[in-house]
Amino acid sequence: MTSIKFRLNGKDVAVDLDPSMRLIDVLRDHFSLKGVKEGCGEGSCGACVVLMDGYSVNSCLLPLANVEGHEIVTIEGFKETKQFDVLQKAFAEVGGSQCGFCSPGMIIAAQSLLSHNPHPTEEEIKAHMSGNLCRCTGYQAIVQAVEIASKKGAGLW
Amino acid sequence: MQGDAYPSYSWGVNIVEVSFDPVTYQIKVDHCWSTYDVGRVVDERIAVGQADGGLLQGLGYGYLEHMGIKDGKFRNRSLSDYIIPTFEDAPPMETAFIDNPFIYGANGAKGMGELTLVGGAPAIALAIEQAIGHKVNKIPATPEYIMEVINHDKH
Repeated sequence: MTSIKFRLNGKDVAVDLDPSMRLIDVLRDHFSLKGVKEGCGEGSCGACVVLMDGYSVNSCLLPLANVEGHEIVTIEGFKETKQFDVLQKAFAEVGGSQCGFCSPGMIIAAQSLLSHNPHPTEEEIKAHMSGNLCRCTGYQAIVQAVEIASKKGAGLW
Repeated sequence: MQGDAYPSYSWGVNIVEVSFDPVTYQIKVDHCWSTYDVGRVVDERIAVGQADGGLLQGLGYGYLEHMGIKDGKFRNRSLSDYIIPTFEDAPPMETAFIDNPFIYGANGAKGMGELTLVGGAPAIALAIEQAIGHKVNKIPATPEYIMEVINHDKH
């Protein structure tokens, strides 16, 4: 089997696994990155999103073969950044997390938004994040958290 | 065993404003206002989060979340065909708490988690009733159901 090479959380990795495996299974089972959550397993909920070359993608829909040569960042890698620090504090400040299952995906989606649009409007936040479902917060606090992060982290993105 | 199974009740009021699209029969929730008496609020940030989330679940129950059952089996097998509210469906929600410490509760508190879910569905059903001018007798009031109600009343 040919090994598949990609960058994962800042390190070059190579894996000898079935290229048709879902990226989420590779991340959770092979690399033990359990911050990547499986909600629906079919791209409806966004709990499993990771950054692929800076954009949020559903890792449950991505075959391993497709990440060859690309850069993947999970919540475990992202938490080492200043941007994460700002987002985490903003989420904590307004209660953007209740049960917490959607939070890794929400944070990754917010990073994907802010890195391409550092000062989004409320409508832009809602439109960009609408692929991520949350059952507990009612979303309002998450929108506020992203707005706060956008203000407090001005210049980081 | 003896005891009081329901030592306290919490109370709440939900107001829901909706718009109705007469072409697609779709409902948009424009704004919600809520007030709750849950004794003393211990942590307002978490309480507001529970209130927002509970209300949005109640709204979803009232106009989006249709669970079909056929031959004893659920017909919805995923989040693609069991639709819950997304960011785009979430209205602005304003919440106020009545500070009314409950003498038998820890620090004056009463229960609040489930309460916030209760009012959303009836409130949105009644708001839809007002908006379309027809009785809504069933939830979820999906576009298909609203179309049925309006067309049935016409004939």
